[in-house]
Amino acid sequence: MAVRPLPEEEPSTRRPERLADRAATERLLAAVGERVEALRSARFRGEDPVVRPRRVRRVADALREGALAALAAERLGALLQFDDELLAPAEDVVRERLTSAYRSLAVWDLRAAADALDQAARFARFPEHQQRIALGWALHRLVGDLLLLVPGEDGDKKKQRSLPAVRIVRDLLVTLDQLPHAERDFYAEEAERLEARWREAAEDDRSWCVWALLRARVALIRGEGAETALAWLLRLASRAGLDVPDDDPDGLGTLLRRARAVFALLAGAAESEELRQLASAASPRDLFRAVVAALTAAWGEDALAATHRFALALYVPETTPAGEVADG
Amino acid sequence: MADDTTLAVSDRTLAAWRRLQTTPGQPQWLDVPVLVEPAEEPIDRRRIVLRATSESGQPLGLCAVYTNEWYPGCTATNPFSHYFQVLWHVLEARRLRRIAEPLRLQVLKAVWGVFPSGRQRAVLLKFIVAPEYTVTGSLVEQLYNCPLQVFFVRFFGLPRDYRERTSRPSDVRGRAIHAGYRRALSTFLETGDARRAADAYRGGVWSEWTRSVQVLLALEETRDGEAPRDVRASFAAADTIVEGIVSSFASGGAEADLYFERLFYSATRGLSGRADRVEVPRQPTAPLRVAEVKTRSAFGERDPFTGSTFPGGLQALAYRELLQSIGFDAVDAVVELVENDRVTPLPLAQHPIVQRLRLDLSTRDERVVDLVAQARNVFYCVASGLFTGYDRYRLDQATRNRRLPDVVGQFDLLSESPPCKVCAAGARRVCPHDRDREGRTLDGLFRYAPSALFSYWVWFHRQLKAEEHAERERLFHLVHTPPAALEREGIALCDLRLARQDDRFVTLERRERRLDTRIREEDTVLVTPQWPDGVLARVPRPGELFSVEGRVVELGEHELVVELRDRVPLAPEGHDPLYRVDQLTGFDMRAWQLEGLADFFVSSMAAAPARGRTLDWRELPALAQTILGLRPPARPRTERSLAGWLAEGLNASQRQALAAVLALEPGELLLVQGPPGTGKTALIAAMVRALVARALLDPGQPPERRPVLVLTNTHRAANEVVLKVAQLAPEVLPFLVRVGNEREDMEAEVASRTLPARAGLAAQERRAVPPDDETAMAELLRTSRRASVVHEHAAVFVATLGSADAFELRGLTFETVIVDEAGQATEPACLQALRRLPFGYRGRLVLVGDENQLPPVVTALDPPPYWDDLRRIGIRPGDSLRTSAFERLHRLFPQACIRLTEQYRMNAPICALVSHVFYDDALRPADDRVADRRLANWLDEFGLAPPPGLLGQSPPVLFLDTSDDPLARDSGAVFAADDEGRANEREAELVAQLLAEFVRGLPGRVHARVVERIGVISPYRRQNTLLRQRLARAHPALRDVRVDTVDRFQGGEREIVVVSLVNSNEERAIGTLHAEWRRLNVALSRARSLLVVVGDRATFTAPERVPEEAEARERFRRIFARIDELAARGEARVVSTRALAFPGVTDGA
Repeated sequence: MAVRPLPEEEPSTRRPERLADRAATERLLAAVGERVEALRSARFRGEDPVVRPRRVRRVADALREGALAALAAERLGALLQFDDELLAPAEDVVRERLTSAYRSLAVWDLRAAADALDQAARFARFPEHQQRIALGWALHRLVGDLLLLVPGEDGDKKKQRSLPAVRIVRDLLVTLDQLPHAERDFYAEEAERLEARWREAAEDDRSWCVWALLRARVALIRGEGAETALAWLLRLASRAGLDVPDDDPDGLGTLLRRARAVFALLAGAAESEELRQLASAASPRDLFRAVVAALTAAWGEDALAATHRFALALYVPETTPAGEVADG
Repeated sequence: MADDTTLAVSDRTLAAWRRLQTTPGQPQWLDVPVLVEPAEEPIDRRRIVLRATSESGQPLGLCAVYTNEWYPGCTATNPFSHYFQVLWHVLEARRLRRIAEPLRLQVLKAVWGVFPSGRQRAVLLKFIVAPEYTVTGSLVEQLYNCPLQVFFVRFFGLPRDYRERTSRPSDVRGRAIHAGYRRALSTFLETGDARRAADAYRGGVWSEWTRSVQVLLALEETRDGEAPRDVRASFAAADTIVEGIVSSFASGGAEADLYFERLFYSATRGLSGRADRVEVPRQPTAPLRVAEVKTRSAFGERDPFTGSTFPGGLQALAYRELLQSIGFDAVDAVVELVENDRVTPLPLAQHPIVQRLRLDLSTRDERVVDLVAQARNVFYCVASGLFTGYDRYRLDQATRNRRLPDVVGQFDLLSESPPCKVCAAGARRVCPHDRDREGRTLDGLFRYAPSALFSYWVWFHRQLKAEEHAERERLFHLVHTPPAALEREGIALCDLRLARQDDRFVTLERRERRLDTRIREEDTVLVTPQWPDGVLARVPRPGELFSVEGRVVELGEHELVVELRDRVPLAPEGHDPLYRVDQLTGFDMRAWQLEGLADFFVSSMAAAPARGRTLDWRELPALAQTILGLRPPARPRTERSLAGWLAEGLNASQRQALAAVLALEPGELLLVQGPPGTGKTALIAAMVRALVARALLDPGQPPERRPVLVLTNTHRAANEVVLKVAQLAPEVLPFLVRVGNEREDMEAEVASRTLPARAGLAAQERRAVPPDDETAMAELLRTSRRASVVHEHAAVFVATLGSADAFELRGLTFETVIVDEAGQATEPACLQALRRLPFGYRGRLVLVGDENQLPPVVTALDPPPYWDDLRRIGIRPGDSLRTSAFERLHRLFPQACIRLTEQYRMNAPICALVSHVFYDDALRPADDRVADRRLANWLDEFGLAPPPGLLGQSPPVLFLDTSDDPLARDSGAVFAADDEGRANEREAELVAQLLAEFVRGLPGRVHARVVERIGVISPYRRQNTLLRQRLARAHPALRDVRVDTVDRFQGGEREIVVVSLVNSNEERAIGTLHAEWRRLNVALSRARSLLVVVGDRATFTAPERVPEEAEARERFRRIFARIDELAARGEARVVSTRALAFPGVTDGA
């Protein structure tokens, strides 16, 4: 019996790295670019064409044609037609971007949320995704209002009592017919809850301090500038009565003095060596930690965790894992 | 004098290019036009290479534009420069639209760049893109305040929702003071008398308050029964204002010539303006002053020191730049702000924008140029649609940032406070940046629109924009084309002499040459002197400050009368007093149609229950679905029997139509086709009566909901509706309001139905200014009370489509809207009707028209490229703006249309001819009296028998065939632009002799009454001029025969109608006017007793030269064949004109 010889295995050291074939890639991208260009041109004239693979004779060409059409559709978020089916090839991207956007909102990252919503909007074709994007923008405005409107400080009494975005969210939710009722109810309640928290902050000192701590925290983690964080921490310290004696050289009192020095210089106070030294030693992070510690001690609860009451909770649908039989 | 012929401009460009090359690396100010095309595609996002030529086509080589105004050797770039971005978007849009013609750039600044590789080429730094597109100063200011507002309002055309009441007395207060100020100043400068100025001030304030009828409705007297604060304050400001005028102008009046409301235009900056006042100094060294009065300061530039806001800064800078570019070196632009009942003038140097940016006005500060050029270029790019095109995804993307950073580079120099409070986009909840946003917002407006709605919008929007574009280029064309060439086009008249100037009217004449022109009565024109101006040191071109705008009132063979906004300047000693007149088109002519279209789009979307996702067309309001051609309207329900008093005087088809109207449910549409003479207007009057009666039985409607609104395409038709209601349903008249103020062409009955007249403030009363403030205010209050009572009880409003957003209608919606002449209105114009239905279009719409008569009048052009999606909304290849909504919907839903088939005009043979060729033989005379009417019956009314001669003894149809008449050849086209200027001397002579012979056979005592029942129709204006001359020469009585174009005859009728077809030539050309076969239907169907057709059968029945003529040719063949059939029955006569002569008729007989 003849033994079929085994192919000689190439030594692994001789195997080439997996690098993209530049010329072939450029050819493919040029072909995709041509399709994209045709699509853009049609859109510019007012049409909204569907991408269809062109008819080819060879199987190998059909594969390439399919890939070209899919890539072109994905690039512009256009619909793709295979046989009689209309496909939205970028909907997975939308799902991922939406998740990212909502998570960003939950951690008060407005810029990241806006970017993610923008990207999702470019591709979304499923109505529920489109409506989640619309809701995302309304929630973006809500979180923005929550952070930027200082509780109780608007000259208009009526505005002191409500966040304008809550009405936008409420009015929008009744029109989002593709979202489950549970999800809509959840965000309606969530908007009410956040507004209630914000209103509470307008009326109650301690709640206001929690809100100000949140504001400082966001300024720190979003890089809004040292002065912004320091300003909120100073206001908070003053409102919370944290103005302690400065007998400890690295204690809260010293940190507050350093922060005040920063603003004294900004406001044009007479410069002195001591003031400059104090200002240059000011650290928003140190002050933030010290204020958190002081508030935690004073309130008997974790002050940092208290800020989470201003965080947007995200809706999670109740699902049954595959293969698991529901109770009963 | 600067020569602006193409050759001279090219020479300047070539010289500038040579100068550039002599100083490589040194940026230079050029201010010359070049034509450019991209030299490489796709266009790079960092550098654009262009192939440049001069205006006359001489190559200038390659040149480049870099981002941030970079060039080789540049030491500091401008990171916020807009020039590259705008140019990139414009070129990219032109590429995507496949526009092949080169783009014009007015290059302001450039440098000869020497690159490290040794390559040399011009680098363009600052330029005006497409300067032929004219942007007004106020629009430049609007862009500066909010680029996104320009996108929504000037590109999309979004209007406010006038279902909501918006006028407030406080809005008028500023305008009233403004009007008073202008009159007071003008009077003071004329007379130097402060007391007369104060009287003039009162006149201005009075006129403004009485002009705004709706505001009068909103006036509420104080608790003490006195005039409201806004009214009182505007009158009380007289002292302060006159004092200000006296202190400012007491000594300076004689040092300058003053012009009011002058248009000025710069072809190199693409800017125009109309200042309230221009002071041209008599001392050449003194600065020219332009004053612009503003009445709102909420969103002006903020003064950094005082914090106060002042509007109009960029507009003033633009005016200054504009006038400097024309040739006025020293210019001061003053903004006068009407606020707190005083006028605060602010010279440009003290304006907050100049202070804030520390602009240097003593030299050419390039930041001023940048600011003005930026606003102008970006406006062009955004408003013309080149920025976004019709890419629905890009349209929404553009609204994400109100500063449009993709195209507006220099965003840090834009205004800080957007005018959200007055912006329609905020009020309609489509702007994501509105600071006071609430309620159900409409995000993703374009992306989420159903594709049918979006395609519908794109189709019409593109065409309206193309028309607007052509209108905006008109001034450039006038300036850059030699006057003789413009006269050949028919849009200018030169070498006219001033015959008379009385108050506002000026008569200009040219005895040596006939005024052959396409300019016509009612056209807006510019009258410009043709002698060199002292300050400019050259002959001014149209729009260069010395032109006066006006309206043509009368146009004769050798003279024309124009009603002007200001007096024309008189020629100084030693100059020939010649003037030129140029036809001007209004920039905003299409604005209200764009608004109707945008309103339809937004209102349809807003009424859908869902938000935030792509809508299905089934979610739009039912009526919107029908308009889009997707939902067939219900079949007309005609079975309902009508009460005897409702059906009285109506024929069977009219009764059916009325029953169908009364059976309409909210959200339904009915089409009523009314061929000529079928009593459309009478039917509308019957509808009005029935709908009002029904409303009386249903008093539960809210007060802002009224029973019926009738909209028409023309004022004439609106007046006829009022007259018909007065005649057939006089009981409705007390509840009827004719919208608008009285017009000269209104009958007394109609004028008395306008709201001002009914409130006791007719034109005569408005002109009589009360003797003192107290009397004026008391009169205003009395008028207000009367107007409110009339308005509250009004059930029927009659208006034109263009005035559907008139003051009187604001805040009101209607149960039923009837559109008359729907076949003559463009589809976007027809959409005005929907703006007056309740939210969600929960009202009834009735379109009355006839698509077989004249279609809408449009100036453009070819329709945009067709795409498949249009098919499902019933738009076919070949359709355009000329295809009315009535025509499209009738084509789509013939079952939803009721045709009126009994006509009251034409006798049986004429009716048979028209019915056979245009209405499938469905049209018939209403009764025997109509069918049997002959010339003899008509003349019998005068106690006369038909006179001898060809016309008097003719059967009802007479055809004078000129086929074999060698003298009857037409003149060929005269005007370059189209063939409107054809004429046929022989036909004119034949018509004149024919009618002269007829008139001579009648006694002189009836001549006047007879000729007023004769009409002569030809499609060509030139032929009509010729006909008038020949008629007047043939018989004095024939001077009064109405000779007009078909278009002007629509709606009219005469006992005898003579149609001169004109075209007769070897080429068998019938021209574009005859190719529109519906014109022929209108011409033939004007006759009651006798129809005479004069024309060349061979020319009109020859094979078509282009496919567009095919249908017209076929109809002509059928007409002549039918005439032959009628002739065989003795009901028509065909006469060859070759040997035709009229014995006894001599010139001037």
